[in-house]
Amino acid sequence: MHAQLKEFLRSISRKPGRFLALLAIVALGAGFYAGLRMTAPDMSLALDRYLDSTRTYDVRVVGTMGLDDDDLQALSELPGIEAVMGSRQADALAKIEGKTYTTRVHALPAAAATSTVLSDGVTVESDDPNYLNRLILDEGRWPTAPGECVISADRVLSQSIGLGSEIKLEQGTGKLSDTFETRTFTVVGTVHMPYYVSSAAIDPSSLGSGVVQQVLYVADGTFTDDYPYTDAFLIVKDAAGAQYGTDAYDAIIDAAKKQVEGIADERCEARLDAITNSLYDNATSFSGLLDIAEYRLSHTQAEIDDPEPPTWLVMGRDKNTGMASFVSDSDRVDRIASIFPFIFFLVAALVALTTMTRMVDEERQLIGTYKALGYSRGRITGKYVGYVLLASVVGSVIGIAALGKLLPGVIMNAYAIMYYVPAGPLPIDPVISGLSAGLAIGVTLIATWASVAATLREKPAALMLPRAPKAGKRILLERIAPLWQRLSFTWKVTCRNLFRYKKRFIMTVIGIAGCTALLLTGLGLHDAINDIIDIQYGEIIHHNALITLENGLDASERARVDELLEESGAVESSTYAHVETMLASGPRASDKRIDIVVPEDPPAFEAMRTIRTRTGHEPLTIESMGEGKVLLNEKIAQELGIGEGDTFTLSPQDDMGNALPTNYDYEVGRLFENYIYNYVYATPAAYERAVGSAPKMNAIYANITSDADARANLDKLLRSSGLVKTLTYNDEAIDTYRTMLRSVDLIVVVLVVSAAALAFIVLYNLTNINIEERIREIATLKVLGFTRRETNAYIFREIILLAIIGGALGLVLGVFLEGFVVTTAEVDQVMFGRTIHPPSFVWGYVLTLVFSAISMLLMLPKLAKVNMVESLKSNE
Amino acid sequence: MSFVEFRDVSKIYQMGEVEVAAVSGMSFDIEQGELVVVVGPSGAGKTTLLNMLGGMDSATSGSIVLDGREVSAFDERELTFYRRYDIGFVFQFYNLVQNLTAKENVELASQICKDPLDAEEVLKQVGLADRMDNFPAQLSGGEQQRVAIARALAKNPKLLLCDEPTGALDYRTGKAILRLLQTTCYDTGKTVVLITHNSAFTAIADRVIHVREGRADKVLVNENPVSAETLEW
Ligand SMILES: Nc1ncnc2c1ncn2[C@@H]1O[C@H](COP(=O)(O)OP(=O)(O)OP(=O)(O)O)[C@@H](O)[C@H]1O
Ligand SMILES: [Mg+2]
Repeated sequence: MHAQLKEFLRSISRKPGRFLALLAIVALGAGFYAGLRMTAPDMSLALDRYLDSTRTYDVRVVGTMGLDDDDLQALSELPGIEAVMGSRQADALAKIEGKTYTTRVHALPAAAATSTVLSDGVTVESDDPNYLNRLILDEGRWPTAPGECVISADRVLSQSIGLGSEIKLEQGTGKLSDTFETRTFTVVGTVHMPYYVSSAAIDPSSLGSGVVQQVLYVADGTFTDDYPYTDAFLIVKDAAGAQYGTDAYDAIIDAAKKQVEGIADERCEARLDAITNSLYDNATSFSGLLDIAEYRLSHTQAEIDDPEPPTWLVMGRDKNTGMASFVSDSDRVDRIASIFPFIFFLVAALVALTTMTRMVDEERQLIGTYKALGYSRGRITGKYVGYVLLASVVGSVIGIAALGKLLPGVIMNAYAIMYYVPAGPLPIDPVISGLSAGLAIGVTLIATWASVAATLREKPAALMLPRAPKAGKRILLERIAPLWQRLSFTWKVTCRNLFRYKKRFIMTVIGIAGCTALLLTGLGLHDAINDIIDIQYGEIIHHNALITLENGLDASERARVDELLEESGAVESSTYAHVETMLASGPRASDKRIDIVVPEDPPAFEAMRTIRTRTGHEPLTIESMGEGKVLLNEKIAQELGIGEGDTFTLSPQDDMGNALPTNYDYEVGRLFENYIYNYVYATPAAYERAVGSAPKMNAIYANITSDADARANLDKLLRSSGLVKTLTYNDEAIDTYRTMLRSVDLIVVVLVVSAAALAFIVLYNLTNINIEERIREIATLKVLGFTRRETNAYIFREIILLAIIGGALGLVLGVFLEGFVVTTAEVDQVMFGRTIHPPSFVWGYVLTLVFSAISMLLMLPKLAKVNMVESLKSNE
Repeated sequence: MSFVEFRDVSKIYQMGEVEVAAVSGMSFDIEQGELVVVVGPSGAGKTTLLNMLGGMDSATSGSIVLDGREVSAFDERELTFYRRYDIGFVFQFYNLVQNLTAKENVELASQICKDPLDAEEVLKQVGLADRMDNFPAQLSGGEQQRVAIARALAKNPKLLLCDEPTGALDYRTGKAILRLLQTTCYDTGKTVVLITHNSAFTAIADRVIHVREGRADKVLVNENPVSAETLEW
């Protein structure tokens, strides 16, 4: 074997720890980056695979007055359309297992019963190509008769509902009997619904709590014959061949949407004619349409008499709440992924730099010998480049292969709490792998080159001589005589050593600081997430229920509501308010969902909701805002790009969530602390000034006993009165949010574990190098008769100090990193906690010190083994 | 009974299959207060001898006794305290801690001893009164070696062991170091063992041990040692 190659291999085997530490740090850095970056594409891929294999729609057409068979026929004749499915759906309040849920009811296509699921668990085959949004039966069987239904297997709120549960529709947007032939159902099966991939990001509804809580698919024949198709779902030709979310897919869909929009006017006219004709035939059929909750415009009797022409809404998958939320969650992962791992690369570079500098220093004489023997600079550099290349290539491959599959798997598993999107294969993306490995290898190579270059420039003769020992120097501290003189001898040495090796000092401190910062970020993110619920429902919101009233109650009806609340004995306190969902716009963003709350009696409302600033907890009151000014929550103000004293606009929305052309301008008085959802608090006067009419009190904030019987009684009283739309308790919201946030928390665990692993490798490596550099000093101490303990103390005191300083710096760094990651990771309409709790600082710091301590413990045998005779033999 | 007794001492290094006897069956005595010079060709086992005597290495067989205590039977901890209280070492390459001043290097040793000499006093003795606050890099080789000797002396050891202390020094400086060692021996009554390649040094010794192939070939007592000052080589 070639002598240089032999020497190369020996330099690895002689100190395997050094090589392995380098390899491990590169593996972790490259793998972490690659794994996190691959997660979002893997999530997109899984979604595309799931939607394609269940033949889920590409384009959805909603007719504001429904659709008929002629419409479906016309759609299917379009050249770009491969399949069309007409579909009926309606919202209703349903009583299930003693609780009321806002429920969406879909008609189950007949073809479902004969469909089969392939062994991959996601591909649904059916003889009917026009059977779309295919369901996957999870448990039980398909409905065969009216009165049977299947429910979602994934909804968070379905947990207590199982096979055999009874579901009773109690209230719809119109008369239930106009929409449904059957109103009581038995659950005979549970299904996965590709149309609803999310169990937490839920579609809005004009009923009940305002969001769809349950989804049913009911047997054919449940809807009345007069009830038209509400939706047409379309599969676009060739769209399955393109991945959802890609430009290619969007282009195909846009073309198809244009075709659909091209026939929309013609079809809507035809539809209007058909309706007007049938109106004369059968006056009742039209009212059924009004039940179509989702797109019911604010109809009045006048509109029925003189109906506005219907329109078509043509929507892609991006308008599907669940899918959109899945996509935005994967984007969020990607955003964290593109920043967070850079700390890893930075630290990897530092480790490579210290390691290689040490190695080159150690092999000074060898380099001199090679040079003297006439080896070229390139060949000598080649050895070190080769060493690092081997470590970083092998490290990258191992890291990417392992974490490239592990991390996406873990994160998707975490998201499975919120989404039912079965994970597909987790391919190792070549571009991301290349980028990640390239970065890792590049960074370490540059560090290596930097450490070799300086040494190689020296003359061979100079290299043969030991490097001139770095001169000891007086440090600043020595000039503070009273302090310096008080220090014990060993402390003096320690202090001087710390400041003598500036490079080592800086690198060690940065390395340790990076690890502490990562740990703190992970822990802080955990705090931020828990604070959302803990502060929102622990410190801010003190009512536990919201009652919404029917529109336009008069004084006597309101008195009746008060009576009922009194009579039930379940209500401990209550206050009226006008609550309306609006769309807010400002300079930076527009059409953000927000509730304007106009309490009738602001102080009473403030007793139910603490209004305060986030920093300093300064109490705020609605009435103290001054004329025309309102309170706005911090997060929305940030999103809109406004601050105190600025104005913003609120617009009412239609049932599709589109802004109506009316604008109301408000001036921001103060910003208040709020974590979930967005709110404007206004006095009746401020509201009236902006809107022009007095607010109508349509909601009651209440504190209701937790006693189940009393609650049931209240529920019955209110429902039978016909004056109350909904009664919702916070408990449900809290549960849903907790479930949602748990998934994000799992990612935090991934971060903390990785940060810990990183911290450990870095500390081990730094400690190792620190000791290797000082072998001679250690041997000298031993010769002088220092006991083991004294030697350890002498060497480790310095490392402990470095850990203490680095850790402290890391806490500062971590605060910034955490702030950055939190704002990047934030979910729409939710503000994460903005403070890191003291225990997290303590944990981050203590863990850093513990890892240092473990590294040092691992070094003890090495220190004990330092051989005096060997180490002092030559003039190194 | 002599101050130092080497009895049939061997040191065998196992090099894979091969056994290398660095010292084999070495026996000699040294009396208290003597200046002993060990000479012999390269590879003869001089350093090995000194290391075993100084408690830096243990013998494979045989017995080493210093001042009535059997050093060769010491365990690691006892050896540590033996080096700490009884031995002062001076190396060819000084082995000073670079980040400590001359005075601090001396203190490094004296602070752990029971009955140390004052660091400043010792440095004055070795002629470095003006250089106490200098770091090793600011001192010449001879000055550094003097710091090393001061460090060994400050421990107030029973035995001062020097492995080629002049090896890295020029003639004049080497001579000054030799003189320092000789006066130390005479003035303080300490036993000094000194290894050298240079047989001219034997003239200043009270006792000369010739080492060859791992044995004490000849042990000569010099009745009339000359002063290092007059030494020429
Ligand atoms: N750690 C070791 N492993 C193997 N052999 C060793 C070891 N240390 C010394 N030796 C061998 O023991 C023999 C004696 O070595 P020693 O260093 O004592 O010689 P020396 O007389 O001091 O030589 P020099 O004058 O060159 O310093 C030599 O042959 C050497 O190769
Ligand atoms: Mg020798």
